[in-house]
Amino acid sequence: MTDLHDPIDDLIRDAVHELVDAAPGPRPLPAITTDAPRSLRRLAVAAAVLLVGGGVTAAVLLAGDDPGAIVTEPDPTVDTTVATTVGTTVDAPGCPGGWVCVDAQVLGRDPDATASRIEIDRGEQDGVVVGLPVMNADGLVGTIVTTFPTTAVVRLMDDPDYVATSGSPGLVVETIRGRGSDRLPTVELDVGPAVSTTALAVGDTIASSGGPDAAFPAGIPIGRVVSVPDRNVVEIEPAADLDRLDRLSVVLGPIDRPATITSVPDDETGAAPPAPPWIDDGWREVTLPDASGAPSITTDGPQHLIELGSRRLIVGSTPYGCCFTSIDAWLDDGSGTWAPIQIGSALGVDPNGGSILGSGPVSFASGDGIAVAAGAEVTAPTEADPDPIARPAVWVTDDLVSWDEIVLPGLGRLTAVAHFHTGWIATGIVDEEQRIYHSPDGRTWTMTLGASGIAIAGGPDVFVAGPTVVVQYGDGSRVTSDSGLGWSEVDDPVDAVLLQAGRGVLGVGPAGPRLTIDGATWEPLAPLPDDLVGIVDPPPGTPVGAALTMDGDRERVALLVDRTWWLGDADGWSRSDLELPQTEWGPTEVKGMTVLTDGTLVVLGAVPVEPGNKPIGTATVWTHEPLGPPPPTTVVADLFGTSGTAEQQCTDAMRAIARPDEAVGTVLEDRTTPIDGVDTRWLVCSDESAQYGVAVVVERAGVRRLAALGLGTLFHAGDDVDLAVDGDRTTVTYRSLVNESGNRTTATTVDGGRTWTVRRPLEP
Amino acid sequence: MSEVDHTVDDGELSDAQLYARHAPELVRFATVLVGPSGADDLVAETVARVFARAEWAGVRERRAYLYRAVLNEARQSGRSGARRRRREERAAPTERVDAPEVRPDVLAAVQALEPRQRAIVFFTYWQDRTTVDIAAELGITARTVQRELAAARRLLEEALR
Repeated sequence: MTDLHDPIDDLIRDAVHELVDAAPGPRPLPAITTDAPRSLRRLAVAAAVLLVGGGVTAAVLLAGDDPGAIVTEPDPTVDTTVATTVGTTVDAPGCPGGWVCVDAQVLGRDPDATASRIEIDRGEQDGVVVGLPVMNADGLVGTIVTTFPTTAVVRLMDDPDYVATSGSPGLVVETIRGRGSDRLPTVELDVGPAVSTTALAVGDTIASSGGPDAAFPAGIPIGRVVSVPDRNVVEIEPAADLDRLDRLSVVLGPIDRPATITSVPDDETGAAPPAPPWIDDGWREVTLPDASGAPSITTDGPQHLIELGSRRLIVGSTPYGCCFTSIDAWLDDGSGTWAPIQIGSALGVDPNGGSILGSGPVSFASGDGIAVAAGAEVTAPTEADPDPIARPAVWVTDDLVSWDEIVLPGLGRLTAVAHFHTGWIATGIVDEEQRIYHSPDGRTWTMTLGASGIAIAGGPDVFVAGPTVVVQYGDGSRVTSDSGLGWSEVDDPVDAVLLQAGRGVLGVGPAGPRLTIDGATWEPLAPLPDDLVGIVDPPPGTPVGAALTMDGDRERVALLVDRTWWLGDADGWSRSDLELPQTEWGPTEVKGMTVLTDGTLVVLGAVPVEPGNKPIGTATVWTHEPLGPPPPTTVVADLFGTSGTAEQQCTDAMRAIARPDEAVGTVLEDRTTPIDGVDTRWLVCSDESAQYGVAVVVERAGVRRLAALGLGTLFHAGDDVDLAVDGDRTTVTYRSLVNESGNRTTATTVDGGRTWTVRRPLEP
Repeated sequence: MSEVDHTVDDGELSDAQLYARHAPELVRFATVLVGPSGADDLVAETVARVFARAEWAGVRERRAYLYRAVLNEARQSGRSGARRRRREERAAPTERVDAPEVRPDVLAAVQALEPRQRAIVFFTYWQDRTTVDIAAELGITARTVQRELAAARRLLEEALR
């Protein structure tokens, strides 16, 4: 029982009682009509909505003077019994003539009682893709929502998340909406002004109207009208008995356009089905399963995609009410399918609700075998502390499921985190300063720069290009570093906006867009098309994301602006073929985009499916196969010249990690070790005053890199340094005096051109 | 309206008897959902439609079904109802069509909630029912009830203080 002794509860109770006391008495029940359904009520719509009754298909062809009149004719193109697939003939129940179907058998039903989904024995190998309609001899059954090579999942019409639209904009568009198995689905008709209609009535049968670009063919029976709550909304009894499904047809597409879609992942030639109308070639849409535990929760949609080896995690937050938040998450454990997982409590958000809005991570990064999230742990206000208390926090995982929380000192929140060749960089606003933190391992964090007095307008953000990290403060000013430890200010930044674009950074300013991969040289890109200039000064809420992708053999910048995907380079920009859907409740809210390491393009968003204070959205992922070979992996650029003595190299290294004008490097160790048959030279450096820690310079195959760093420690030189090589993993162990107890510290470098980092300190 | 024997299970009542038993409380429920004006119509029309449904004969939890139907109806009519209310307020700003005994701020505070939140507030503060009980009645999870109630409390606290 809810504890109702709070004074506010008395206040609410009084208000509710006041309201209830004003309730009128009940009205006599109106007479209930139990007339037999009329077989053909008249909905006169020009070639749009078909009425089906008494087993006779009738095309409705009227837009004329008499809205009550109707012209019905047998439709010779509709054959309700024979289906033809390309190359073979299959007895697919209910398949409309002129369309390609594949027959399917029900394998099982989703045990989740709140959902209404079945699995069928046809999948990608049969040409089945997400979005295709599924029917039986009686009528529409549902829509494909997930595909596997040999099976697929169908969301039935009475699933609470079911939404399907068919029709011709301007004439009639019908939207079918499932509302759970305890409620009848509705069909909402959006009738164009040129079309005359009469009211729908109980007993009418509604069929899909098709249309030149519709995913549904015309004439699939949808259901019988059982109530008409609104002029344009009817509740329907589905034509197909959704509780007794056996043999089904998946409608692949019209016969005359069989092979225009290439979204079957294994590049099968031959029959290919049409995608949903808003998706052109190559894009696949996957509706994420409900992750919130409440089917109709307002979702902000999936926002982050984190890759860790073959595993991937999608994370989104769900605000509810005025002030609370929860986390939705989906894991792909390498199998290629998304399953909801509950990780809110591991990420600072109470899984039972009640976590104050703003608690939890806002930024994710992965590298070196772990993923790190940054944000705040916010505790709800109490009587003693009437304001919520936010503490900067990071969360670390090596499996995307179990996360360790590390709360940093001070009050405030972290705003961004990035992986970098010396470890991790996080930014935040803590104790009213804009701060930058560095960590070698994601767990041990040191503040490396605190900038008080800078206007706090939005938190600092962090960008990485090659060996360079750039932090942009809320006022637009920037600092940069090659180590994450020593920072220098960027004079007069020319870019109004920075965007992390994969392994590069995109700058956009009055002089036009430019891109840097190595953090030092900027390559000018072609001027942005007019449609894109808004990203220079984006209006609030404009979704913007950037990535790098191969386009054939060229590497180009991908931008997502206002639900449209663009590709560009120095030669120009082209609009790509993803235009995300807009439903009657609003446009798809795009929450993120990325290019995976295998080159797959990914867009994350929420498709509004129901109105509310915020539209209720269906979390959705759109993916596209790589447009070219996998993009190059991140290689930390050569930091140093190829000439110079070991002492000079150590000075370069120490100046890179410390104050540039002060450090003078000393060589602690100079060793050459064969790794995988390649001689690898290691320089272990400190500086004369032993103030700035340790750096390891690796020279291999003619390329010299700053490979590993100790942090802000004093250092005992000489024989305290050990190098150990195990396969491609090299570990440097040295004695640090960070806390005067002589901790042994290791710095591990993994060769392979991608990952260079420092591991956590050892226990004393 | 016929007399109702309250020892009889809902399933044994005729539709008319069932309506007689539950209509007063359903109208109170609808009053919290849509305000006093029109609550009676909403309930009568909704129940009439439910009784006409083919599936009604197979419904076991008849009372819960009726509450859900009224809530769904209130949700669907919410948008057009809000438009109508605004029109009416513009047309007759000094003559409230809603029952005068309800303070306008109370009405406004409740109407600022989502329909489902209003339903949960009704069950909690009028019927004194538990979270689990409400969840079963509305066919949603207890967790959802808790979070919606927390959100509703906060909104009402702001509006009523």
